[in-house]
Amino acid sequence: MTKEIKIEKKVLSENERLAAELGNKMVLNGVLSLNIVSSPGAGKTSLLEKTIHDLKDEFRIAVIAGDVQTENDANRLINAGGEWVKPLVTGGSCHLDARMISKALKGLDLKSIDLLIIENVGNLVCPASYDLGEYMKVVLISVPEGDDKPLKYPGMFKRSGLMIVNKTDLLGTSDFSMDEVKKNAKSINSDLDILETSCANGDGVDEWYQWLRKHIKRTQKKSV
Amino acid sequence: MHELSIAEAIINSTLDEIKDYEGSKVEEVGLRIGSLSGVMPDALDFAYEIAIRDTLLDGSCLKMEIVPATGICSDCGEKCSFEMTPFSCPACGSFKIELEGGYELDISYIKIEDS
Repeated sequence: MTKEIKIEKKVLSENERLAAELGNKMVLNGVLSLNIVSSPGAGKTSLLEKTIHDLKDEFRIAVIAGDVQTENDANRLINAGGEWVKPLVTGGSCHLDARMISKALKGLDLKSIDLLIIENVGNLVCPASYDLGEYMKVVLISVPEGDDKPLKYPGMFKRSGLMIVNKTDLLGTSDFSMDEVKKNAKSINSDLDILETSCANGDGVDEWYQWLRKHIKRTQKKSV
Repeated sequence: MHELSIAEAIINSTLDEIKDYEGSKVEEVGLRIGSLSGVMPDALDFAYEIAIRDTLLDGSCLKMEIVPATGICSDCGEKCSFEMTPFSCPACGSFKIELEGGYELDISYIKIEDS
């Protein structure tokens, strides 16, 4: 006899439970936690290198650097002056999940940091499904990728709070239009903040730092 | 790879749900998949077939119901449904859409052979 059991259960409920735990810990300890997502090669590591180099005396920064293979990114961030950088080599998995983050954070006293940056695996599809307990997803795209990226990957742009358009030094070398990418992004997510940066010539990175300062302050206020 | 970990999560959730039905075999698992969930049904089906081998779900199948992206326009209150991006209100053209559906990745039922 066939019996039907009716349930209403999220497939990723275990991930969401762990992510909620992580999120609570971050809030309690006044840590701003950001999940940085992009396609491969958009410049996540370059932007983080610059950020660590320029802000390491102002904020205590911890980074989890996700990659499918190699610890290259983590090494670059350590060379940039990162004090707590944890490589997270997934060995093939296309995304990070909350359990990996919990494990990676073992041994880190959250009270001792202001900012946790999770550099996700370069991929605009799968990481969208896995909440890592972050305060916000930051989606990075770069000029050579084309201005229709937000339309092609709506799930990720809808779930992000900030979009950074990187490699602005390459504007004018292709038919990429800044107006068009902003219009496309806003058509997916009208609340999205947008910043423009170039890690090659430093344009716009100060605005990124201002954005970080504002949100770190906000997070620390909440925990008091 | 993503779909394989989703398949494994479905199997674990299902095993958890049927704990009280000892000796029964799973015949079918019903899923609701939002069009923005980032899951490709064909790839999930393929991953599921491989992942259920040698489990209590061996021989079962997935029934997937695709849920479209739906929302309400914050400007005019129109209820909208979207097949494709961009998400603009068909009535007033606004992009201020509060999405209500589209992210689902839920198990809705499990059919078992009750012994």
